[in-house]
Amino acid sequence: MNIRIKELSKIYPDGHKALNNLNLDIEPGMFGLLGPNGAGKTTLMRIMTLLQSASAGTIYFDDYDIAKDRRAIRSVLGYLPQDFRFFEKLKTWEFLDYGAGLAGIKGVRKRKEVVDEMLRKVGLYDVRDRWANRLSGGMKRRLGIAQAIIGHPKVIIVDEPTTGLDPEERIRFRNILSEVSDQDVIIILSTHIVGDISSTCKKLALLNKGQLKFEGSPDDMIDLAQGKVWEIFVTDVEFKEMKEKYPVISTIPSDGGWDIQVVAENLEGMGGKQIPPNIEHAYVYFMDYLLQDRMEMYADKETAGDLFK
Amino acid sequence: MHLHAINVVARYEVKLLKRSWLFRIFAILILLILVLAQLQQSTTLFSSSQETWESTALSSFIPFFTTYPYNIAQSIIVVFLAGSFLKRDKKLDTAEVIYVRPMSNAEYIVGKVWGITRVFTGLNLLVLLLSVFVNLFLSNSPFSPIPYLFYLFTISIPSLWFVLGFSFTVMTLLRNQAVTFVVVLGWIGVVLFYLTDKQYGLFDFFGVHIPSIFSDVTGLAHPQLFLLQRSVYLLAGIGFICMTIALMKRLPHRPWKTKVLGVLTAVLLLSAGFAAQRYLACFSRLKSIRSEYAAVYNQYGENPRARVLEHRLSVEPRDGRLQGESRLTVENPHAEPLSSLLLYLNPGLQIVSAESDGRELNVVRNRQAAEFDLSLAPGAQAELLIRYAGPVEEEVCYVDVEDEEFFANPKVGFSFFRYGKRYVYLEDRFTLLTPECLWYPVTEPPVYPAAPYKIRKNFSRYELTVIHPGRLTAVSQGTGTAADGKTVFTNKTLLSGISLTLADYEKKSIRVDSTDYELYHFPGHDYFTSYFTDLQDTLPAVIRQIRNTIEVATNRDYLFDKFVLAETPLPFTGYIRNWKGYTEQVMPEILFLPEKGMRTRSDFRASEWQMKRWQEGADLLEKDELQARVLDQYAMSTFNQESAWRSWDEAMNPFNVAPLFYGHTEFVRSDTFPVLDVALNTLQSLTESAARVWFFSFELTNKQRANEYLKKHSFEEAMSDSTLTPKVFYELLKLKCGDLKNYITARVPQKDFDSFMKAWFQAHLFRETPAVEFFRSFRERFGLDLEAYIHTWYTVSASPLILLKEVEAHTVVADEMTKYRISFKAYNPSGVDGIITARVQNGGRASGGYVWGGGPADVGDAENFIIPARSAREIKMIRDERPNQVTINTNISQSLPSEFTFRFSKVDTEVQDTTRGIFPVDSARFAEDPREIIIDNESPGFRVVESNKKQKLKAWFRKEPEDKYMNYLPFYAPSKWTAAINNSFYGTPVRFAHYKNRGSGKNSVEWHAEIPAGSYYDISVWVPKLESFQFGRRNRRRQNSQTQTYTVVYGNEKESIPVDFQQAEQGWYSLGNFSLPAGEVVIFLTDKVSAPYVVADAVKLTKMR
Repeated sequence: MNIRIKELSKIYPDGHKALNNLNLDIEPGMFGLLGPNGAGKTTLMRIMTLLQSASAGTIYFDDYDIAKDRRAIRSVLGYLPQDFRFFEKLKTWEFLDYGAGLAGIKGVRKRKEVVDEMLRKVGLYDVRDRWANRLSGGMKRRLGIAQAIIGHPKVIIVDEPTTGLDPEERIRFRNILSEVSDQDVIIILSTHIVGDISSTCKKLALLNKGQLKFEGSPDDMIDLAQGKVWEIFVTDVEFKEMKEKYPVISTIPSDGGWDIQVVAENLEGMGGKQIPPNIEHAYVYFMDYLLQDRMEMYADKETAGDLFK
Repeated sequence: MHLHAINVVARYEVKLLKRSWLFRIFAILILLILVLAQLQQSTTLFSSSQETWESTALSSFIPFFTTYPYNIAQSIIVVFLAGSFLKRDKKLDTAEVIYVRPMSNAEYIVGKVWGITRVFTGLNLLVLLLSVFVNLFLSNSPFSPIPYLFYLFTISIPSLWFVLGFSFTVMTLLRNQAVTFVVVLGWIGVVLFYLTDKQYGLFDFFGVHIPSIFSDVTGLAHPQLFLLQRSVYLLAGIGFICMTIALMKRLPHRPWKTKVLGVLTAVLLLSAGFAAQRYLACFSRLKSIRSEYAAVYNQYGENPRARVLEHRLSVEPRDGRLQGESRLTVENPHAEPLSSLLLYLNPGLQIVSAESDGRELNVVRNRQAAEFDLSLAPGAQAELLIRYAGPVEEEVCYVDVEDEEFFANPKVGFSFFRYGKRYVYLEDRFTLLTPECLWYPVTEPPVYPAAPYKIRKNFSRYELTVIHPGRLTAVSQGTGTAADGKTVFTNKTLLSGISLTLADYEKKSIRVDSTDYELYHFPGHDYFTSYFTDLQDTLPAVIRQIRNTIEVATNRDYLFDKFVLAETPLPFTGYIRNWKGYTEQVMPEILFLPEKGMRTRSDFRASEWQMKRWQEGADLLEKDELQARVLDQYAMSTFNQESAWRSWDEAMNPFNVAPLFYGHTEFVRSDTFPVLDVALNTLQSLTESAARVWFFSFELTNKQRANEYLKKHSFEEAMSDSTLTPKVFYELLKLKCGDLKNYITARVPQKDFDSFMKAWFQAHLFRETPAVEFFRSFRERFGLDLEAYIHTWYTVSASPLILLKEVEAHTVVADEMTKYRISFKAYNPSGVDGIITARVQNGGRASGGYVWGGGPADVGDAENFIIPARSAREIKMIRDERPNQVTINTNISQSLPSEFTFRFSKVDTEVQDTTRGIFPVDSARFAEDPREIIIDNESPGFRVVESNKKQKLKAWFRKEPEDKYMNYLPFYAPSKWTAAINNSFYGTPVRFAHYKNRGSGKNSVEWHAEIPAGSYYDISVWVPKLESFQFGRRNRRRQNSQTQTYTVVYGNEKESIPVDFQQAEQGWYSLGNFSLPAGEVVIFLTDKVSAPYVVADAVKLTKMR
């Protein structure tokens, strides 16, 4: 299945343009959706999952148009929202059974097989009879993805799936997704943890202010930042200057100063040394230099500004 | 729609609901409460004295008893669950994983509704199954599965869907759970408490306040109306569910579906509205058709009527139609010729042919009236043969009955079983036709709405032939002979009308002293024989005794050859109309009793038990004696009681057999006093009934209203006053008849009068007699011109005012024995003679003579005294036993209350005067004391300063009574100052005071008095001694102190004086002496008191010498 987003726009009643003439093609495999807060990612996902309508343009799931063929589209969708709680008073297996039933799997026995298989796949078989809202955070997330992928959906949309998970759970989660993505399925992953994308996604798109700013593979994006990431030792005074001028990506205290990594076009005169960029560096470079949309790397500045403005 | 998706949603909705604590607690509570209530109500498990018959007699009672509370509780709980379900769905992320699934909005909502329906219907079934268990194994109730299923599908499910859809819609529109609860629960409350009976029960979405009780013979009284009302809520419920789908915040599979849903919603809601309109239209059609029929009666009301001398009629009821042939002998009794013959016949019955002496008659039909081109010379007779056929229209019945009464929706006893009303049955399984429905042609119409008392009785000789299937039994007046699918009834006496009943009856009969006593009941309805098994030998004696008691009470003999009790379906109803003197439930020879003895005291098991335990010495009685007493008790309470069994509202007893002794046997015609016949009958059947106490109503009793009316109106005016309700008119009739009786018995010994009446009527049976004959006989016997008195009695438009003074009891030695003398003085300052009735009660125990339902009380012996206009009298009575109290009833008078009770706690002073009787005294004794200024509640100086202005919700829906005064209720204090009457209050002629509940002091009353010249004055306030029943610990504690603080303001002074009502004696209580300057003095009292209520009565200022 392919997804074609055609001139998609979404304007909210207050005039805010969440999506602006977006065009994007998505092919089977894992697809990362990147962008700062307010870029339009959530709006795009909600339109794709038919939870809200578009103001203009459309999306095709193969030949199915979101404006017309909603039942067909819904029957190929799986969705895991970011902040996902469970109905009280449903057991782990029941939650999956409910999803499976709604996904169209008929027959009690058949559904039981599917549910049990899914529970085993996500490692929840032993807790199948536990109330779903009593599961640990990681288990809940696994149950969430299980309900999203049950019934073999062709398109799975996952919003911030690994936030708050410990590394082991994150890896486990990625593996589940990777396993599914082998089966001619589109998995759209919206995340802030760009690391998740580099390790799983073949392609990604970057949205900013409702527009598509980049589309390609993670490596394409990393290539853009080649030679732009520097490691440098600075004193306290220099560190302050650096923070003013460049996005600082990592800061490690060192003897008499700091070992820092910054993204900059050129730092040669200051004794910096070029290092190979990763996807995170690439993302910062892209946002700060190519889009000239400088990211605020220090929370205290922003917060203080908000509070005392 | 995909059933699979609906099922999945429903399945999980069921799981979630079943696991909700709210639902679990509700389910457990409802099961527990309903089962306990059912057991309490329908079985004797908890108390052997429980009267279960009224809850178990019919097969629909037990299922309805369960359905009623279940349905209301279900509605309330559904509101909470619907609210929380939508709130649950508002947790967006959770809902979204469901919303992305491929089911449509409709499948989702329908799934939810289906799930909720399954759970609640399951619970309902469980509750009903428990009722079935009680029904089958623990109670005596007959069992039929039909009512169980019928109520489930027509009451529970439509109201569930309606509440569900309505709550969903409100929740979707308001998007606020709390506000939704308030709106929907508020609506439920308003419907339940204020709107159940409005618009013929249209608002009752529960469907439990419209007639829904099944007769075991004929089913629902009005099934079409019932189903129409239920369809309103079924359609509206589905409409609201569709609206919820349309308003759902989820993109529809196809956008046009929302529009379709919008249209569907509109269609369904409009259909519901249309059904509602149809429902109301049925009633308004009935109303308008009733007024059309009434208009026809009025149109021909004054036409001279021929008399039917003989009527041989043959009818065949079949397939809901009646085919009839009438051979009539008619006569023109007038001095003028009749140019045409006017007959009345049910408007549904079409006249097929009419002939007289071989000549075909032309007929002009105007609804129930039929004018034949047959002229009759004065005194001439003619033979007619009329053939007619068609259905019998029920709407022509009781067109004179006020709409309020006609459309009232009665219940069985104190239950909530509403059965609806039917007046005619013409069905294969049951036929019941009475003269009211004009099932055969008559010359005398059954009603003349504009002048009801102008209706006369036409005593004719009837012969009836009924053609009917052999399996059915025909019951009518006269001797019946059944053969070849035909029953012929012939009559020895002339009758004023006949009825026909045709049913699959079982008959029980006994002949006692040449009278046949017959009882016809439906198969399987013999619930009574087993209670009277030991009565076999003594039954004739018991019947003889009952008959004798009634004959003595009515002062007449039973004149018919048979007495028939025929069972009718529960809804069969007749109205008591004062001018008619009987209901259609008491026809000549036949009394129609409702199914299984409902609406009468028919719980023989409980009666026997109660009698054994509660009646002194009854436990020692032989079984047959006990059963005889039970039967006697039933017969007396059913046939010989003025008030209906278990009536809240002074309803009259439709099964009172008095008409068999009066109304059906004679008629005294008076064109000047058309009420005379009814009045003569009423005054003979008047019983001394005790004052009724109504614990639940403030309102004036109908008797009090009647008395108020007579202050300014005459009896003659009352006859044509449509503003008087029939019940008030009946009390008025009784007051006037009592007055007439008192007038006669103050001059003539009661015994002589009674024997005269009996003999006179015995000589004028089964015919119409002119009133002049009665007056002449009366004058000849007693030398009194009754006609002259009746003229005043009929036209006087004022009532006397009676003032009483010096009511005392002393011992006196007479005939060498210590006796007791009771004396009092009465003054009548008005221009109309007054009659007072004094009744002395003996013994140590004081009782107010209050009796539930107004049955005969231990009323002591009564004496009547005439107090002529503008004169005063002293009345002296001597009694052998120590008097406990004397009750002086001023009968028709301006006094309110009209009855004064004086209690004698001590009778120890001796007097020498042993005279007894009525003596003139100087009326100056009653003159006002010039030194006194009394400000009572009606004085111009009395002011209610600030009244509580808060309007209650119920004021929007309930019409407040229009009476100026209310009765004082001992256990309830109103939130506004209310003028209440009570014997212990001060006032002439109306003893009333203002009272209200305890308040913050914002509400007060003031007494203003103008002091002509400065002087010393004693200021007193009137302290009434009221019965007070305050419930709750808090109130009881407070009752020990009942202090009201009066503040006296004069000159520049202000003094507050507390008065402890608990300690003070009844009467004037002095606040002290005050040196008052000339000018205004104000005494005020606020509602800030220690007692639960505050009473503001009269204030008196007495100038000191």
